Amino acid sequence: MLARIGNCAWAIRQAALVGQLAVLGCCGLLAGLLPFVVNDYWVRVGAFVLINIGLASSWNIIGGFAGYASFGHGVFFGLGAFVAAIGIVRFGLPLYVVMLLGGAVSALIALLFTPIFRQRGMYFALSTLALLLIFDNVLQRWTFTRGLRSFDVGWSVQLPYGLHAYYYIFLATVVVLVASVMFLARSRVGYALHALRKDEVLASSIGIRVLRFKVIAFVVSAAWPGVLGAAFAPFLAFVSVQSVLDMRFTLNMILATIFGGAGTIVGPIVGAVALSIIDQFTWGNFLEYHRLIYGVLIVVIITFAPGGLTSIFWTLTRRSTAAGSAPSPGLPAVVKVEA
Amino acid sequence: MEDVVIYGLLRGGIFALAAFGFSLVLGVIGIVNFAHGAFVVFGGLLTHYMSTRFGLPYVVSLLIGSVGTGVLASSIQRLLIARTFKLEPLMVLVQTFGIATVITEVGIKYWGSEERMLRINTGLPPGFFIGGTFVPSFDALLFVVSLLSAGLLYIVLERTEFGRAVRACRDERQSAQLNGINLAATFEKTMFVSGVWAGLAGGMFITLSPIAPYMDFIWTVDSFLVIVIGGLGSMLGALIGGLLFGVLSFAAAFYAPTIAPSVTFSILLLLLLFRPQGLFGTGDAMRK
Repeated sequence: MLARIGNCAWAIRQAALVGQLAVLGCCGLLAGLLPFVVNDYWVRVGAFVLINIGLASSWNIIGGFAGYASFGHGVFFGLGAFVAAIGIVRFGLPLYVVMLLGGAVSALIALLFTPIFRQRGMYFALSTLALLLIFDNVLQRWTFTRGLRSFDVGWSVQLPYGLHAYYYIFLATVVVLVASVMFLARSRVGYALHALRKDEVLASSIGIRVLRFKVIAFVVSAAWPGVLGAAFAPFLAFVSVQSVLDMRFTLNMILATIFGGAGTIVGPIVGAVALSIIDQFTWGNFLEYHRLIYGVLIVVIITFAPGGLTSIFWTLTRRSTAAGSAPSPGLPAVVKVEA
Repeated sequence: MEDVVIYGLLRGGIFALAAFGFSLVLGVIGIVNFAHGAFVVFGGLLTHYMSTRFGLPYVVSLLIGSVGTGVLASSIQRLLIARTFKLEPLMVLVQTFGIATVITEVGIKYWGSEERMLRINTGLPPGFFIGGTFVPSFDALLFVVSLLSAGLLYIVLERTEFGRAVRACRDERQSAQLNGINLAATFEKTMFVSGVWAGLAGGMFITLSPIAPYMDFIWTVDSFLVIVIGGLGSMLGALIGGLLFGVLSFAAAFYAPTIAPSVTFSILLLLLLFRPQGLFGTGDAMRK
């Protein structure tokens, strides 16, 4: 039974891009049926799960595919939300315009920080963390971004959409996002990232322009959180540094990706869904110990299964030798054959 | 101007203490310990707990606080980090993040989340003047103590058998192993020393400024800043880095209070980009 599931999953993994996109489309349609079968509470939970999937999948591009663990990626989500808030409240722009704008601004800012790629590993992580803390401070203090009046601490963003409308907006965005990740993984950019993650010196010696591809990965993985953040702003209704630039978002992206399996397409999705379930469960049953359980869980999982959920899946279905687990960011891969 | 420098230096001594352990672990084991700030806070709160709950003299509670932090650090190394480090070294980063969360949450559970401070009565005269600046004698005493403990750490690393093993692991891990140095044991001892000095920093800082469990992350980032300023691998670099960082952060908070974090982190970013080996580092830039 397990072996059959494994074979089936392996077939999808090996399938042509069109096949994978079709599977993704089916999953998207299934998720689209959700508001018809459950009540509003679960639709709201579903919306948050979708946001988590989107954020984890975008972090995966830089952290998983390129192997550069960014510790300040939440900044792009926050920037998107702030762009949306300012665009909607100050200039009265419609939602789809601010979503595009949020992505564009995030991508532009990511591009400006190209010099960060002189760093690697931990130093890169710290540089991106510093980036987050700088933006945190600036957005909080600058009167243009603080709010309409000088004493405001945030933006109240109202749009005439219901919960279900937001659910479908998020769903559509996330489906396009995951499709773009699938496309990226099978493109020249994906192969180049794959090569440079395994050995950067070797990759550049065979003529791959390492810096260019790292910047492409960084910009793409920054643009998507910007789009999501812009859609998230009116959903949340109140945008401030505390609500959208929290360290929590960054940590969730990293944890979900690593929990599921970094460097794979399914990994971040599985990780985000699993973490959201755990999160819901602990909130509902042990509210007081919520953060403690979360922390313990991270430590336990990383101590005993550093490869993530997908690697456990492949081990269970005895495909481990052929398919291998996803290599974690920045490590010389232990994988022999890759899809 | 003069007062900013003096007060910055007084604080800087403690920042240097906190950074020693961080630098040691980064240099010898090769991991960024995100739980380091949690160790500092833990040491401070343990010291506070010992002296308020059991009424122990400050020096005794400080000793218990720092050694307790050392034991915590080395047991975390043995039980959790060692295993992950062998399988996936980079995952240790995320793992220590989780450990920091757990320590912080357990601390909040048992000690409460409020900020607290310890008042010590030394019986010394209140203070003296350097130029036109008033220097509280207790702060000056702590500064001297932190310099002394830095000297002690220097002796431990340069003159003892353990220090030789640590330096061997830092410089050439494989050769050290071939020469019969037990890597796992050395790593645990390194973590112990790192924890002791982190606890010392916390236990001393809590007499000057309030400490609360939620501050762990700030301490980690501050320790990293000190290392980036001073340069990795040398105790002297960490000491000078700590003092400079003390002055820098005090000046930023004094002259530009609203944007102080941006100023310090921008300087950090610029240093990382243009002088990753630190202002006084001599070795190659460590960019892995």
